[in-house]
Amino acid sequence: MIRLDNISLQLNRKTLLQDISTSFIPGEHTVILGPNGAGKSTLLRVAALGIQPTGGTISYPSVDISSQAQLSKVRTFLTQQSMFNSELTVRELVFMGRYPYYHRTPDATDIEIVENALQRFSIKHLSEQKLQFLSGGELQRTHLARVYAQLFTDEQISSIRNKFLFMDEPVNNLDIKHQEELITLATELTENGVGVVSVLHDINMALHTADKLILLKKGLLAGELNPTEITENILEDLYELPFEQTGDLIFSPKRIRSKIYQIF
Amino acid sequence: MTGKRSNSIWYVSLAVIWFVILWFGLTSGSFEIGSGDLWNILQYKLGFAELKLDDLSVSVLTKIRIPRVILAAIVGASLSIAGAGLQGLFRNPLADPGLIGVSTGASAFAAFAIVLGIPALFSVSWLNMFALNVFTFIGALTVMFLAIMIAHSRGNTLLTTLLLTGIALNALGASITGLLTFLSEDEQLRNISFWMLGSLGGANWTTTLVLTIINIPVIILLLTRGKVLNALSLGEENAGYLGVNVRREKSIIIILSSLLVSTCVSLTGVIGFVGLVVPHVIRLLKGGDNKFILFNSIIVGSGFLILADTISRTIIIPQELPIGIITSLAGAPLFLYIIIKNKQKAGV
Repeated sequence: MIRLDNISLQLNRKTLLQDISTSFIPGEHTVILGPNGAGKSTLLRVAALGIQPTGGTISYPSVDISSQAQLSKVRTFLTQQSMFNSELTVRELVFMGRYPYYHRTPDATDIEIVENALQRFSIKHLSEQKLQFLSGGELQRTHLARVYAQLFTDEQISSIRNKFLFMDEPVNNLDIKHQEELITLATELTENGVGVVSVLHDINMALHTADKLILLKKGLLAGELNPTEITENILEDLYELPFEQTGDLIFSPKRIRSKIYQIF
Repeated sequence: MTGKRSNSIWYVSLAVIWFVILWFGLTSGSFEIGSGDLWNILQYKLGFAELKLDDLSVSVLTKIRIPRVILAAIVGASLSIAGAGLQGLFRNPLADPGLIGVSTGASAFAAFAIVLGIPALFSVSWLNMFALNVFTFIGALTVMFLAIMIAHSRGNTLLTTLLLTGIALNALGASITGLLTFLSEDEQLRNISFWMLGSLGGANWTTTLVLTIINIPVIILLLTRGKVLNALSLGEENAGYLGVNVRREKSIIIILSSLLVSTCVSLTGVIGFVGLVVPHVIRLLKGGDNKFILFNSIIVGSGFLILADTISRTIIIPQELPIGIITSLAGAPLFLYIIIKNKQKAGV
C-alpha cells in the first residue's frame, strides 16, 4: 500500500497540492477525477515520487524511497506523451522496461517478457520500426508495452503482485477498440494484485473501471468515494457544470443546445 | 534493419576496413617501411624469425610510427565517444564534444602560454616539453568546472543553462585567442594557428602512454552509459521512473566526456568535426540505440583518425598538413552526403 500523509506541493509560491492524505491499495484501480488545473497529474507524479512534495510524507511498502533503482522495480509510470526525438526501434523502447532488472545484457527472462509485451499490445509486427514512423496510437501502445514489461520481476504473472502502475491520461490517442483493451488491461492487472492509479477525463469510463475515485479540485481533496456513490450534485460541484444521469451509472453534461435536437 | 544478420555484416566490414587503415597507417610515411618489413618485425618480436631490417627502420617504426598510430586511435575514439555521450545527453544530434567550451577554453590557455612563453620558464627539460600540455589541460578543466558550476542549481545540472553557458564560454575563449593572435609575433602566431588546427606530430611513447592511462578507463566508464542515455531520451522524469539516478548520471556523463576532450586537446590541439560527425553518421546509418552508438564510435572514430593522420603526414611529404584540416575537409562532404541520402530514404 502506498500512503500519502498531508501531502503539499508548492512551486514558485503557487500551491499546487494542499494537505492531501489518501492511500493506494494493490488490487484496486484508483481513478483521479477533476477539472483542468485541479492538480490531477501533479498528484499522480508526486505519488509516484517523480516530484518531491514540499510537505507531508509518502511511504511505500518495503522500499527505500530515496532509491530510484528500488522504486523502479515496484512502480511504473505511463506519462503523457511529449515530443521527443528518437530513432529508437519499438523493440528497444519496450526493452527499456527491463532496464531496472538487467545490468549489461538482457537474459532469457527479459527477452521473453518483452516478446510477451509486444504480443499483448499487438505491436509485434512493428518491432523493428523506428518510433518516428509510428502513429500516435501505435506509439501509445508501445509505451504501454514498456511500462507493462517493467511490472514483471520474472516471467510469472504472480511477480507483478503488489506493484503499482500509474497512468496519466492513458486513453489519449487510442481508438475505441484500444480504449476498451486498456480497460481490460487495467482490470486484468488489478485481478493479479497490481495497484493501478490513473488520471482519466472520461467520467463514465472512470465510473465503470474504477474501484475508488479521488476527486480533486484546486489542489484540494474534494472527495474519496466508490463509483456507485457518484451523484449529479457531486459532479456539478466538481466541474461547476450541470449534469444529468442518462442511464445506469451514465452521466452527461446537460446539453441545452444539442445538434441532434436542432434538426427538429 | 537492426537484425542479427545485418549487424554481423556491419561488424565484419568495420573490422576489415579498420585493419586495412591500420596497415596503411603503419606502412605509409616519409620513411619507407613496406608491409614485408612490418611482417618481419612482428615475427621477430614474437620470436619466430631473424630480423632482416636495419636499426633505423626498426626505430622509426617502434619509436615514432606505432606510438603515433596508437595516439591517433585513442584520440579518435575519445573524441567520438565524448561526442556520442553529449549528443545523447542533450538529445541533440548537433552537440559537439566542445559544446560546453572546453576546447575553445583550452585553446585560449594554449595561446596564452605560447604568447607569454611559459614553456621557456622551466629550465628542467621534461617540464619544458610538457608545460604547454599541462597548462592547456588545466585550462580545459577550469572551463569545464566553470561551465558546470554556472549550470548548477540546487543539486541539479540544468542542461539548457549548460548549453547557453557553453556558447558564452566558447565566444569568450575564441575572442581571447583572437586577441592573443593579434598581440603575437610571427613565430608565436604560427604556433597558435598550428595548435588551433591540431596535430599528432608530438606523438611519442610518453604522450601515448599518458593518454592511454587516463582515457581508456574513462572510455570504458562512458561505454556503460548506453542504457542511461536511452532512458534519458524519454526525458529526465521518465528516466527517473526507469530507475536512473538522473542528477548523478548527468554529471557523470558531462564530466567523463569533457575529461576525454580535455586530455586530447591538451596533447594534440583542436581536432574538429570528429566528435560531431562520427556518432552522427553511426546514428543515421544504424539507428538511435545509444548502446550501439557509444560502442561503434570507438571503432569508427579510431579508424577515422588513424586514416586522417596518415593522410596528413603523407599528402605533402616531407611537410605535414594539420590534421584538423583533413578531418573537416573529409568529414564535411561525407556528412553532407549521408544527410542527403538519408533525406531521400525518409521521403521527406
